[in-house]
Amino acid sequence: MSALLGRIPSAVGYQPTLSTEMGSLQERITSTKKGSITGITTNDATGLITIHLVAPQGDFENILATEFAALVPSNSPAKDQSTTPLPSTGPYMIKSYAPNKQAILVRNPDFVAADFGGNVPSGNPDKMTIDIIGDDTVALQRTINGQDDYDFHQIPPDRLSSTQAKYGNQIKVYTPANTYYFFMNTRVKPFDNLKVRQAVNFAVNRQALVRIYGGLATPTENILPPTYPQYQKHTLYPYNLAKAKALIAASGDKGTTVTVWNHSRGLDPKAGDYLTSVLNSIGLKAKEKIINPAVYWTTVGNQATKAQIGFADWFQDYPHPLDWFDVLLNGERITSTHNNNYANFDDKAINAKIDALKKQPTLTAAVNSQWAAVDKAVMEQAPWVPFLNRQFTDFFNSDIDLSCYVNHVLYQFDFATICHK
Amino acid sequence: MGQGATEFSLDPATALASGEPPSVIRGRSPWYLAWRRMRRNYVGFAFLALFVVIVAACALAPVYAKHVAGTGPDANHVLAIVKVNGKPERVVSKGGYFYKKTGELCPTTASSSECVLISSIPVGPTWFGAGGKYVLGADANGRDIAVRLLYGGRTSLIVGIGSSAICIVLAVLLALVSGYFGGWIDFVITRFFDLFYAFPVILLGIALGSALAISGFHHFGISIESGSLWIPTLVISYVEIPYVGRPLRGQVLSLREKEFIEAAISQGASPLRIMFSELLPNIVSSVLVFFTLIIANNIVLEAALSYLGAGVQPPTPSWGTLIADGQQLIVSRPWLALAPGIAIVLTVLSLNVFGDGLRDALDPRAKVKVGR
Repeated sequence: MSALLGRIPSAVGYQPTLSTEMGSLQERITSTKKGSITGITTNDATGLITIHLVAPQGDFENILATEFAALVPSNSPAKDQSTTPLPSTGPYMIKSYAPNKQAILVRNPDFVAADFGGNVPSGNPDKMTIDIIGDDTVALQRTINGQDDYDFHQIPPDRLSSTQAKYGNQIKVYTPANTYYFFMNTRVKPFDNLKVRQAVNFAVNRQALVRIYGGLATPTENILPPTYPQYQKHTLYPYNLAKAKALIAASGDKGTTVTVWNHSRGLDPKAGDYLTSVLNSIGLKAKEKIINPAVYWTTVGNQATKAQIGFADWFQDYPHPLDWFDVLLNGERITSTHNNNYANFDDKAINAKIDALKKQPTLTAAVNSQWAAVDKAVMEQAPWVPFLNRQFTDFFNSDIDLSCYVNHVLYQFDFATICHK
Repeated sequence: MGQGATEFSLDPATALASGEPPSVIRGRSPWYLAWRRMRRNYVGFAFLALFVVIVAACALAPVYAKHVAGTGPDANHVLAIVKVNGKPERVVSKGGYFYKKTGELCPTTASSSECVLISSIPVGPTWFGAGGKYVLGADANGRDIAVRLLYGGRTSLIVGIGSSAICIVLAVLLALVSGYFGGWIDFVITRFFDLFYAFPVILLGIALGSALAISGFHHFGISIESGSLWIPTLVISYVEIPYVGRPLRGQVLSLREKEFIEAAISQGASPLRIMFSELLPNIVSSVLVFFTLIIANNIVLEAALSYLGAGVQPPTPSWGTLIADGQQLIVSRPWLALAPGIAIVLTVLSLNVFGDGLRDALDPRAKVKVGR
């Protein structure tokens, strides 16, 4: 926080203008040409910050805790600051960053762990060098060779056994809250037709996709991942190719040309290849469009692209169903650019249900079962083909002591916890 | 009859008197002379035969796919089982994180020592142990690599030959116009060549290929969808034009000053007639040599662009995309990347050796080469 304000914290805490700074910051980031949010009031004397919402929002505290709500200096330019990082706080600071090549983090000399009441650990390494490697196999080999301590990439599916046989204790397998799915744009042909969307759901064999991902996944038809208390497994679309073909024939869209969108990273292109093969097998004419991962999400999230169907995945920003249904499937939140609702799914009844549940301050058992019903109701309309919840690997070289290992619920492996034997 | 009677005589009367037909010196066309030189080049013909075999194999890919492998190039068989030497084998083995005690998926409550990671690997080369299925193995999607190799060869050859043909036609036209007319026309065309020379050909190919791969080409009344083979074909032909056009222009400039051109002009021949009836036949041997050499060049360029994602778009196989796919399994299934690599080497080698032989046969003094 001291770095944020550009000041040294006083003995009794931060500068008395902290609240005002926060208020002005919020105003700045939420102001547009048409108007601004005036619901934030601050009091420097008491340090009280009051945020007035126009309606109750059950995940508001979660949102405040996300990276997107992080405080930045009031004069921060509204553009990419990757190479000139904004001041922040924490045990480490960025010493250098060469895009697509390397980042070096060193200890932040101004960080005092005691100021955070023990909630932010000091971290173990004095310096972290992050080399950006494009290939899974190369990254694995560098870690095996001892060139790197940690492999951020996934171990290639064909190397799992051999790597564990040699370095078994150095691999950690974890399951973050995630769902991999294919979106189907309900605004464009042929996916504006429910029969076509259902057909694709029937035609995709989730077990095949699990195997494409090396078996480190569990098949799913749900929106929410199984780690959520709101999860109630439903099986609306058991694999049935004949039924899928019949639905396509009944839809009147047989032979329609379809473009499958995907990016070129990791195993995801293979999932796209599989989907293309499936679409061709049920009577559609599918081809693929694979683009750079750096621009993929903004491209398919732009309405001008009119992306028909494509690969997508979602990892929770915070553990709340609103982070899934409100962000990804609420028709009221569809935007012309940077749209997260790639399916452009806009069902008035479901929108209303999401809005109603948004007002629930706590996630009780009754609320959870209502979210489970929303999950099923969405999939009855089939805007997505959810296909798996993926597991991931963390691989460390033999010099690393994994008793220090910490895997965070949102951000996975905490780099700052790494320690040598 | 004495030995001396067979000697050549310039006296036709003597020859007639002897009752024997006069000796005739037959005129030999340049093409006949080239053929006489070429037919002694057994190595060149051997590599031509190799190229023909490769082309024939790729042309017959649908027959092989339908009647031998029993699958198309893009069909996924992730969960299929194939009998290899009578023994059932998964096309893609079942991998994952399994609980040692039960063999089920590892529960989240189990410790890492209680679970084991199993690799997911596609079947390797069956070498006809599976009745022609998966001869070279499968990829991670369970696709038959031999089928994809042949279909990929079709793609690579179509792009390579197609782009070479377009490139040669445009380069010849530009060279004729530039060399014949000279002046400001020559200046504009040579600057056009220089502009392309200024860019590294791979970078220019990647830039054009990547841009067109997303949205296709929809200008000047021409509409080419992204993913079409026309995109890599046109991109490659476009970037190669100066490498053929410039040396040909040099030849045309030289020929332009020859007496037979002056004679044609003095007889009132039109520029079009001079270009296509006088100049073109005199550079056609170089054009032919360029054509064979540039096909090899363009096949390599197509492979490089497709490998980098700027050429042929998946799932359409090409030798370049197959190498990129195979790279991910290079340790466990090296044939996935080796097979298309070997196919490229053999094709390019065969074209280059034959092209060199053709060059020597057509004009032993020529120094035609495709280089950057």
